[in-house]
Amino acid sequence: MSTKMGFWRWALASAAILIATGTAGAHVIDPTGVTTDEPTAIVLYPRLKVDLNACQGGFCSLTPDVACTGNSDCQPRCDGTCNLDGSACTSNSDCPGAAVDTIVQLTNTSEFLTKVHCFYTNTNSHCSNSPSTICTDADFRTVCPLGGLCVPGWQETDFRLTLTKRQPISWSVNDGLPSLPLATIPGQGSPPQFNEGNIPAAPEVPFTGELLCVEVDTATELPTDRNDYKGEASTIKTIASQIDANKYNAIGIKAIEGAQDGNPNVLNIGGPNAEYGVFNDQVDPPRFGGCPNVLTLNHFFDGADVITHDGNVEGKVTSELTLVPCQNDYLNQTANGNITTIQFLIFNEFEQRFSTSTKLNCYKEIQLSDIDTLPGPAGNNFSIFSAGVQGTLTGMSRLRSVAGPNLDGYDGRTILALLTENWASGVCGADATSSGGYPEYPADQLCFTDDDCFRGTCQHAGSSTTSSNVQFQGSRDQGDQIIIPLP
Amino acid sequence: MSKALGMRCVWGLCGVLVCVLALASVTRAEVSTDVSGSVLVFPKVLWTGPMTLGEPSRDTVIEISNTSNNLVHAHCFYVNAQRVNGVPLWQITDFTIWLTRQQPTHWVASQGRSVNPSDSFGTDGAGLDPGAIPPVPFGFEGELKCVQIDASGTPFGGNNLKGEALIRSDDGDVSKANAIAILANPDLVPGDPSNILRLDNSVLNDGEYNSCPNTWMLDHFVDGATNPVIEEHNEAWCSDDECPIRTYLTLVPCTQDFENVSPATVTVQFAIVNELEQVFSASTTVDCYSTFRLADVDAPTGKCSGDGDTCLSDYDCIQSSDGFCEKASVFSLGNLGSSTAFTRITPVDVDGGVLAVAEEVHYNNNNPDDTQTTNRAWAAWNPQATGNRYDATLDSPNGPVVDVITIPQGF
Repeated sequence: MSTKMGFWRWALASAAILIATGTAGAHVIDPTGVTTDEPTAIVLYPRLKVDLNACQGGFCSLTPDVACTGNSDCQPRCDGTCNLDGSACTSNSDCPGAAVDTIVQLTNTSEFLTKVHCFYTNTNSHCSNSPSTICTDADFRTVCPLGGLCVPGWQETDFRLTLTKRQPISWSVNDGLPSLPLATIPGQGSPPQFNEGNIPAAPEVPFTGELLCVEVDTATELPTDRNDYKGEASTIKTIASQIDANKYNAIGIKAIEGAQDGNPNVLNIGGPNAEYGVFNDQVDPPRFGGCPNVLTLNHFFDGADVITHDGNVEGKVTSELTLVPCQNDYLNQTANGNITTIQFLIFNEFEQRFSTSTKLNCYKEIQLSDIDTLPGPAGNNFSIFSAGVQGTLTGMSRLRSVAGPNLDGYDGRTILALLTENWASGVCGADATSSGGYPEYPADQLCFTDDDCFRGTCQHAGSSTTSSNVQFQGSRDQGDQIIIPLP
Repeated sequence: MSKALGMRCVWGLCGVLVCVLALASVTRAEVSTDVSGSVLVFPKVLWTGPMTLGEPSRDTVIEISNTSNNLVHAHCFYVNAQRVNGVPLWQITDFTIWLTRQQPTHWVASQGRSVNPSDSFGTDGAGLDPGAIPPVPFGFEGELKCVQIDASGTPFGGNNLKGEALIRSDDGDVSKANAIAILANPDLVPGDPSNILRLDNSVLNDGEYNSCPNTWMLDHFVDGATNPVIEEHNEAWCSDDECPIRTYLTLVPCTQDFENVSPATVTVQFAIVNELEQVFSASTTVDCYSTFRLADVDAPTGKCSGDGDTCLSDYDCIQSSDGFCEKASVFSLGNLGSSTAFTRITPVDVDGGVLAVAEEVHYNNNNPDDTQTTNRAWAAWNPQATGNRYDATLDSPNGPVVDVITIPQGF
C-alpha cells in the first residue's frame, strides 16, 4: 500500500470516526449579502398593502357583508344607521370606516446627506377583458366579466429623495409625501441640509406591491458603495372598532466598498463582478456572496388549532408567503427575465420530510396551502402545508430557487421572502353579549368564520396578522442583477 | 511503532485536521436575527395570567428549529423578571431540549410541553417531544435563553438554532419577532472553563461567541403619535385624535450569571433624532431585564387625556374610560414634533452590551367597559444594530468590555 493510499484511508477512517463520535458536525456559515439586521445600500419592502374598502365582485373588500355597486357604497355613510356596521348615527362622521394602509419608514443612519432612488412596483393583477378591474387567481372567476382571465401586473413608478444626517421619515403608501419635512426649513447641520424630492401616492388603490430603494450619490445620482439605509413597514388595518397591525424590517442588500464598476445602471449582487454582497472565504475559490441560496422559515401549518392561555384560548392560523425575485429590470420593466422554480422542503415535528415546488415570475403572494393546491380555499385541507395532513402544528420549510444556466455568472434566480400569519380574532359563542361593539370576554374560542365555531356564531369575525422576516442560508456562485434607469 | 505506521498516524492526523477545518465555520462578528446561532435569546416572553379589566391577557408561543442535519441539544433558561414590590425576581428555571435533524418544535409558555408519545395527531403536543418543558407561572415576564450543547452538556458552537416568539392576546391579537441568535466560533467553543461563554469574538479578536452589538438602531413612532390610518379612514374611532401609538422596548443585558444567579446591570443612552433632524437624548439603567414604554424612560408619570388625573400607564386611564396616559417625555409627540423618530441605544463605556426587541401598540378610542378589552393591536419587530461592544470599548480605560454568560456547572 502506498503512502498516499494510506493517507486517504486513514484520513477517511479518522474523519468517519470523528463524525460518528462527535455530537454534531459544525455548521458552515456561508454568509449572504442580504440582511435585516444592519443598514445597507439597497432596502426592499416586499409587501405593501393599501385597500380603502373597494367594491369588488358586488361586495366591499374589507366588509364583505356589505353589498355594493360602486366604491361609494363602501365608504362610511349615515342612512339612519351606518351602512357598514348598522350602528346608530346622526351624520356620516358618526359612522366607522374601513381601510388598510402601509406606513413606510426609511432612515439615513449616517452623518451625511444621502440620496436614494426608489421604485414602487404595482403588482396588481387585472382582468384580461376589464383592464380596470383588479383580480387574483382565487377570485377572478367572480370579479372578472365572463371569460376573463387574470393577467399578472408589474408596473414600476420611481422617485428620488435626499435625507439629511440621521434623518428618519415616514409616509403612507396611500398618500405618499408631497413635501418632505426639511424641504423648506434647514436641518441642524452646518452648512444646513435640506430634503429634496417627494414621494408619490400609490398609483392604484387597492394596491399590492413592493418598494425598492437604492442609495445613490447625491450629485451624480449614480449608485454608491455606502450602506446607510434602514427601513420598516407597518401595515395597519382598521375596520369599525377592530384594529390590527403588523410590522417587519425591510430586507437590505449590502454594497461592497470600492466595487462599483463602469456600468452604473446594472447592480451586480454577488457573482463574478459583485458590487453588492459580502466576502465569503468559506468556498474555494473565495467569492462575494449575494442573495441567499436557501430561505428557512418556521411556520404554523395552515389550519393549526393553537391553544394558549393555559388551555383557555384556542384559534386557528393560516400563513401567507410573499415571494420576490432578487433580480429586477426597472429599465425594461421586467421583474424576472426567466421564470424561477422554487423548491420547498418541509419538515414537521416528527422530522418527516415533504417537498413541493412552485413558479415565480414577478411577485407572488400566496397562502401556504395554495402552493400545492388550486388557488382559493378548495383543496387546502389536502395540502402538505395543512395541519391536518402534517399532524403537527408547526413546521420548518426550506426554500431553494433553481439557478439558471451559468453563462455570464448572473442568472442566480435567487429569491427573497416575507412570512405573514393570519390568526383568527373573532369570538365564538351565541352567549357573547355585545356592548359598545364588543363581545364579552374572556372568550375561549377564536374564529375567522362561523365554520370555526363549535357553538354559536363568530362575532366580529376577522383576523389579526403578524409579519416576520425569514432567515437565510448560504449563497451561490451565480449572482443576480438589478437594472435601473439612469438620470 | 514501525516507521510506516508512524507515517500513517501522521497522515491520518493531517487528514483529520483537514476534515475539521473543512467542517469548521467562520462566523460573522454579530448577533443576528437572519441566521441560526449557538445561543438563542427571546428577550420578551410573557404569560400575564387571566385578563384584568381593560388589559387583555397575553401568552407566548415559542418556536425553535434545528437547521442542521444532526441531532442538536440545547440547554434553555427561563429568566423570570416579574417585579414584586418593584424588585425583579430574576428567578431561573432551566431545562434541556433535543431536536432531531431539521426538526421544528414549539410550545406555549403558559402550558409548557410534556413528553407524551400518545399525543393525538394534529394536537398541540403532536410530534417528537423535544423534552419536558415546564410551564411558566402566572405573571411571568422575562426572557428565554437557549444555549446549544453537546450530549454531555458542554456548550457546542454548532450555530444550528433558530427561533421565533409570538405573543398572543386573549382577544386574538398577535405580534411576532425573531429570536436573537448569538453565533459561536466553533474553533474556540467550548472554552475553559466550558460553562463560561465569553462573548468576545469580533472583527478584531478571535473569541468564543460573537460580541453583542454596540449600538441598537430603532425606527419608531413617537410616543402619542396619532395613528395615521385610523385618523384618516376611520375617524369615528379616533375622535379627538385619541388613537395613539406607543413603542415598548425590551432590553436584557448580554452578561448573565446563571450559576450564581447574579443579575447584571447596564446603563444605556438614547440619542433621538426626529424628522426635522433635531437631536435629543435620555438614559436609563437596565437591571437584569427591562421592558418599558419609551416615554417611561424620562417621564414616569403623566396625565390622563380624559380627566387630567395623574397616571403611570395607559391602563390607569383606560380602565376608568379617561383616555390615555400622556407623558411629557423627550420621546413624546409634543416634544419631538414629528410622527416618527430614529433612536440609537448605546451602553455606557464601562458596561456590557444589551439585546433588544421592540413592540408597538396601536390604540383606537374604543372605550372599554367591563365587557370590552379590544382597543389595541400589537406589532413586534427586531431593531437593527451596528458595531460590537468588544471593538468599540477596546480603547476604553478598562476595555475591552467582554460580556459573559455563565451557565451552571454540571454535577
